[in-house]
Amino acid sequence: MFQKKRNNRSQNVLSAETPFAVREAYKSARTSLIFTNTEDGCNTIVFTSSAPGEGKTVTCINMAISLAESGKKVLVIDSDMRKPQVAPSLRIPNTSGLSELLSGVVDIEENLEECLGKTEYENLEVITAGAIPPNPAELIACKRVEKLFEVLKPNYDYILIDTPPCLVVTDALLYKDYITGYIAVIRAGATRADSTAKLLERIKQIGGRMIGFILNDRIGKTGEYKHYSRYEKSNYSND
Amino acid sequence: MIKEISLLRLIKAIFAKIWLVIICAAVCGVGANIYSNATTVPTYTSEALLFVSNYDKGQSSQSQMSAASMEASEHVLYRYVVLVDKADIIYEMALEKIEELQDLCASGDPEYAQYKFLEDYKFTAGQLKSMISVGQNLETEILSVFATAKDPKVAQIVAHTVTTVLQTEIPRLLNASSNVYINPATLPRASASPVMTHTMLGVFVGIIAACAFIIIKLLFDAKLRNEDDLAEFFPDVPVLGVIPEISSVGKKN
Repeated sequence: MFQKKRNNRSQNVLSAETPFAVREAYKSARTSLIFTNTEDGCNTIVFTSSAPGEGKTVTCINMAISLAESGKKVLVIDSDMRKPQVAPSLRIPNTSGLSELLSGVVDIEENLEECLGKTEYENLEVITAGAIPPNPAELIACKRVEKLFEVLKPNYDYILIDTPPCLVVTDALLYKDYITGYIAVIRAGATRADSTAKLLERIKQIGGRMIGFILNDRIGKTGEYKHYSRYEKSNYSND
Repeated sequence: MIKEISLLRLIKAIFAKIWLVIICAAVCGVGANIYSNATTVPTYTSEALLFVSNYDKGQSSQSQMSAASMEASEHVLYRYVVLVDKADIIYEMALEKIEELQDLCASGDPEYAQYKFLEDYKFTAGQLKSMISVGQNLETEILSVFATAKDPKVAQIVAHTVTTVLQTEIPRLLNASSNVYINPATLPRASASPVMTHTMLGVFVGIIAACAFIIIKLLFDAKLRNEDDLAEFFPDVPVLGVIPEISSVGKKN
């Protein structure tokens, strides 16, 4: 059952078929994020979690889509170079990507365009993970990361980075000096409080800034989302 | 393991699993009822009454009983209670009377044929003592003598016999001037069965067991289920968004 759910990741990406309540939830999260982050310039945010399977990738992509729909210029970077999921979720090819940029195979200043992938969503671009390297953490720790963000940040309002689980590998923590902050994705009914506490402790130890939580897959009480159907049938859904 | 848990969370958890509490209570109640019915032997309790009065024959009416006389009756009543509890001679004398009834019945005397049910019994003074209990009401100077047995007729005859001994022997033993009137021992119709008590106890145990299970599960369940849990465990970190599970909101029409 868990494997089947993983394979349906692309179906959970925001589309015209997504239920109104879910779309509105992402819009609400988008609004919270915008008002939480009032920095000028590009807001660079790492999406992480305590364990695999908590919905980081889908949440990161959907938040990016929601921000793009509001007119912001958004870039998604798939920094999970061990199990890249952004490309298959968006149904785009995973050709040259982050691993090529950080390893020097693709020059950041001259040939960045080779790694920027277009999507069906306006204002949204993607840097996929690229070829799976033998040393993802070392790539992220190298100096080219700083150069990469120097080049990228002027062109976008938001850069959202999908990373592996924070308690499994340290990749997410290595971005601390280049980002605005961290968003932790929590899966309702699955993520443990003690794991989340460890995640927060890790981020605190490195001096990272915790922007907030996004609670994923929250099961509503009976009738909780009923009122959304009334709004869906009215003009409120057409934005 | 969660080290702290709020009372509200606890109550919510129990109400969320109220079906478990009900089922557990019902199962334990039924189980206790079946076990009690299978193992409990019904018993019958007969009651006889003694009216203890320190009434002076010289007084023409009860209204003329002095306060001292009433207080004396209360003291005598208390001594009766102690004697019933401690004096083995009471039960030895009661045993003699019962054995006398058994012999008269065995002899074929038709007047004592009604005591035929006693012929299968071989009592001891200790057994009679264990069957007897007393209850006193100081305000009314009435002493109740209860006898409990598996046979209602046995309960009645034991209550009657012991009370008869008390009536005649205790004033002699205490060298008191009390007059004791006896109300005959009743023939119990219904058994004093503890089945209902056991059943209610079973229901209570079931409720406690279910609640204990829910509480322990909650203490060891550290999963974050909703935004309230996040706010409770991590009040310093804002919840930017709550994304519903797709199946709980249904597909777009």
